[in-house]
Amino acid sequence: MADMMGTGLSSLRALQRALDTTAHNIANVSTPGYTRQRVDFATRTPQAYGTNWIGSGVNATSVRRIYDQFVSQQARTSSGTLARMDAYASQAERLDNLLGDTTNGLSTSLQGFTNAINEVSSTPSSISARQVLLAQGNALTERLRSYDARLREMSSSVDTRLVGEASEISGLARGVARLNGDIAVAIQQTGQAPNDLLDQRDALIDQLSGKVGVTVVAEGESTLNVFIGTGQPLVLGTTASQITTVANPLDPERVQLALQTPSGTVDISRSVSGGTLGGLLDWRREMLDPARNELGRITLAVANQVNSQHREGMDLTGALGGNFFNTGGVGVVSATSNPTDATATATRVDLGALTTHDYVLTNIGTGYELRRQDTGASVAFTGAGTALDPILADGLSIVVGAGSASGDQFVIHPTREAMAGFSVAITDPARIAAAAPIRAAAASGNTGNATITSGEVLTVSGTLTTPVDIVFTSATQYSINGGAAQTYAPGGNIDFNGWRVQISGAPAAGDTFTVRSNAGAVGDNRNAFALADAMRAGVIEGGTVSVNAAVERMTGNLGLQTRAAQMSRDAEAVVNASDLATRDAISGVNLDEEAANMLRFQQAYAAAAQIIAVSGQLFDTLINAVRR
Amino acid sequence: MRLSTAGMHRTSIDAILDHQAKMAKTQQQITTGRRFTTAAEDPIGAVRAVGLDRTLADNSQYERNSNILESRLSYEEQTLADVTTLLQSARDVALQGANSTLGLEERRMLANEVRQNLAALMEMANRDDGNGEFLFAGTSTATRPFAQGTTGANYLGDQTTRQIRISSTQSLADVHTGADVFMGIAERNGVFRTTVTAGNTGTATIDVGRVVDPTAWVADNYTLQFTSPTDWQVVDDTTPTPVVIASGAGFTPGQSISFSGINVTITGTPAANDTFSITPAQNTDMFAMLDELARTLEGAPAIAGSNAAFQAQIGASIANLDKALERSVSVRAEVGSRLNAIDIAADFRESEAVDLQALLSELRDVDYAEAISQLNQQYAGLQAAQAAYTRIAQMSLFDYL
Repeated sequence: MADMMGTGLSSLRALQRALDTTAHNIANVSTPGYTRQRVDFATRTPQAYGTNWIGSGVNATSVRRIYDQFVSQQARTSSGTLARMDAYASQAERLDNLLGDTTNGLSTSLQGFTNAINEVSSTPSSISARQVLLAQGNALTERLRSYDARLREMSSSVDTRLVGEASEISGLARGVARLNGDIAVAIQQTGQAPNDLLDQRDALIDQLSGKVGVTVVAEGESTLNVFIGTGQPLVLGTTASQITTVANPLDPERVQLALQTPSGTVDISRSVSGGTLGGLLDWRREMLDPARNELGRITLAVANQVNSQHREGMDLTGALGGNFFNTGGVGVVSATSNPTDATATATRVDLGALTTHDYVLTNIGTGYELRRQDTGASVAFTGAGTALDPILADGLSIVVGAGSASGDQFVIHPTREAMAGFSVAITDPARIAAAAPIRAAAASGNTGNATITSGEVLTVSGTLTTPVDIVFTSATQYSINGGAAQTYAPGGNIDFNGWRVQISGAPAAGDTFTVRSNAGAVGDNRNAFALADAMRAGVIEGGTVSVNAAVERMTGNLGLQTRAAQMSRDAEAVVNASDLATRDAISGVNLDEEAANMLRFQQAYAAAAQIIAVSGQLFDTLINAVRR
Repeated sequence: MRLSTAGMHRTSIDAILDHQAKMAKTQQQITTGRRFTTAAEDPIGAVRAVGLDRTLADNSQYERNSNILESRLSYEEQTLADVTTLLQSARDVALQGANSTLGLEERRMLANEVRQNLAALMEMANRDDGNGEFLFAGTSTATRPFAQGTTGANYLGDQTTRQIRISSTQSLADVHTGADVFMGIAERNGVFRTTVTAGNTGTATIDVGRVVDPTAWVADNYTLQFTSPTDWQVVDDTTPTPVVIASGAGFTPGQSISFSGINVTITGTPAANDTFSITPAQNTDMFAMLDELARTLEGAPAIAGSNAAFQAQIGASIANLDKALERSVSVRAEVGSRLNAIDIAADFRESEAVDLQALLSELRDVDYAEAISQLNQQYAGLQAAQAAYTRIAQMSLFDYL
């Protein structure tokens, strides 16, 4: 009978554990990362009675996590990927909102500016039309400068995130290391894994993977080692490495993630592939930097088209036109790691050849090496980098200052700095050069019927507006300013002093044609007309892409990239939801199930209690029989 | 499959959030009337829409350009009509003045009328375009283009005509310069001028003549001499030693004399040694023509019809005015064709705008019927998701314990 009592007691104890565990499950139904637990029952060692073995009850052998290593790993990976794609897509959406506005974007500002040029072309003497042109020019520069400021801010907000996340990652790593230690101690003490500590550790690693993407390798029964980037150890047993941010030697404005090891810091920015930070860094490299460079190139295209035409014109005061727009120069940064303090300068020489890449120029001792900053691809160039023989590549001319030595690196941003310095150089509406600088005319006493074209400017020279007389010495010969006789070809080009005219028809001997400065022609629109046409002409990429086309292409590309990022995110969200559902299906708490378990264990507990009661009664029966 | 309680809740909430996001998107489409607001929502469509918007905005700018141009050309058209009327009336005066029955005083009055015409022509040539810019100054629109000098009218404008863009492929010349309209008109018949030499004693006069064979004409100075009332010869004075190049006998009044591919008619009776000169035509201008006519009328001989030189002068003035009329008509025709080109471009722009608007609307505008029915569907979906959630959330085995 004593055995029956023992069996009942063992059952009570085991069921007590089971009910406790059920209660624990119910209590943690909403705890993130919680894995449901289950009590494993096993029969106790039976006792031998003669030739028979009689069972002696039940033992709660262990409390186990219902956990599938593979499924949980999958869910963690897809969560990390989703975090990366989500960060990428939401930043892409910010960029798209800023630059992809189809009703009030950059193309609207460009349109306003072009229309204002047309207006000046129609009414060149109207001061108000000229004022509108200046205002529209200012609005355009303001728009691009504000884009520049916003894009810089977006870029630096990535740095701010990096700084903040670095210390969080370090904190999470320390948490994992501490739990590694605690778990090892717990297993040593009881031989059983502390389920809730395992859950906590998994939750920390999940968070880490959502930030940077990590690789987890189990070591023995109790320890998880965590690696970051291309295999740099973040957590090894109970030691955690520190993640910090250091200034990027090639771009002092930016920081990069670094792993602090006993031997110094290791840059891991490039190898961070997953998680939020991976998404932000990818976005900055793949979308933000190209967009800034493209906007810079568009800025340069506008400025170049307008300036070069504007310089060929004459303003209301009779002076030749100057630059209409100012732009910023080429950004050249000397790496902070350079062994010397030599500097380099770069200028743009061919707008049509400019790309939207950034470059790194490295002094390799025997010469220079030019590579794209994003891909590292080698870029062909000519020249030695001296002032007399500058390095020429992709529309740039680069001169490295004296004293540069092997190992010096210079980062070149050809276009993006153009925006910050983009402004209208003119404040006086009278200084807009709407007129052509020369006027050609037939003298009033001419007897022939030859006519002269109004003339065009080939090159702006000091003698452009010098008075010139073209006198016909006969019907077939003429001389310019009394110079040598030249044969007259009707309709042929006559080039002189940087201008070109054509005379056609039948001139008579003594007929004179004059080319004079066009000062006073307040109603002349020839240069404004050419300006309006220049805004529509191809200029970028070897003169094949116009400013408007470039803006449209950039908008379209950003839209496509954003849409692709959104679609990847949405697809990954579905994968992740399914992975989480699979994990939950295994590890999640179901209250109905717990209720059923509770009912089951409760009934069993009541039954076990009855065993003890019956065992007591049996004992009483025996005692009573013996007493009599 | 086993479900976790938290998972069940999450799935339901996710479904509700998803429906709400879709509804917000549809609602935004309905309130803005646009299918998309940023490029990411439809990259291809957005870029096309931006391009179409640009074409439409360009077109409306071209329309503004056209309106400015049209108004200036209409001003020019009006002025040219006035000039034509004026020249016509001057020509009538000249015809009237040639009438041999008129007396000296009547011719003086006619001269006065011509002087008034000249002043009126000066006013027309110096008209502005309604915006304070001189119409006929070329591009020197702040410079008063015509001034009466001591030797006649001077053109102070320039010879540049501006171009105005009226479509992406077409630009039109703005108004003509004063030089194009009023100046540089070949006088007389356009090739040569005939003059009765002062001091002729006969009554013969010469008409303006005509070119019969342009290839035979040599632009030299010639003298037609009558050695007797019936014998004549033509001397080329330009050659180093004057050469007789044609001669004839048996001249009768009203007979035409031909040489060097031209033909002149002498009426009246020449006296021996009377001469007429024939020289290459010069370029002149409308002001000089009127001035010449006025001076001819003012200098008319006392006995009307008796002076051969006067008759020749009047004839020359009429020929001049014909040339001037020809010029004003041809310039007007050019203005007319420019105005016509503006109309054609405007018609094309309008029909293009209708097409582009339709395309743009198809590309970018929301189909309200579709959007509203979509919103209703999404609303029904949301309601169903919410209802399902409340049911599922309520069900618990614990309720039955």
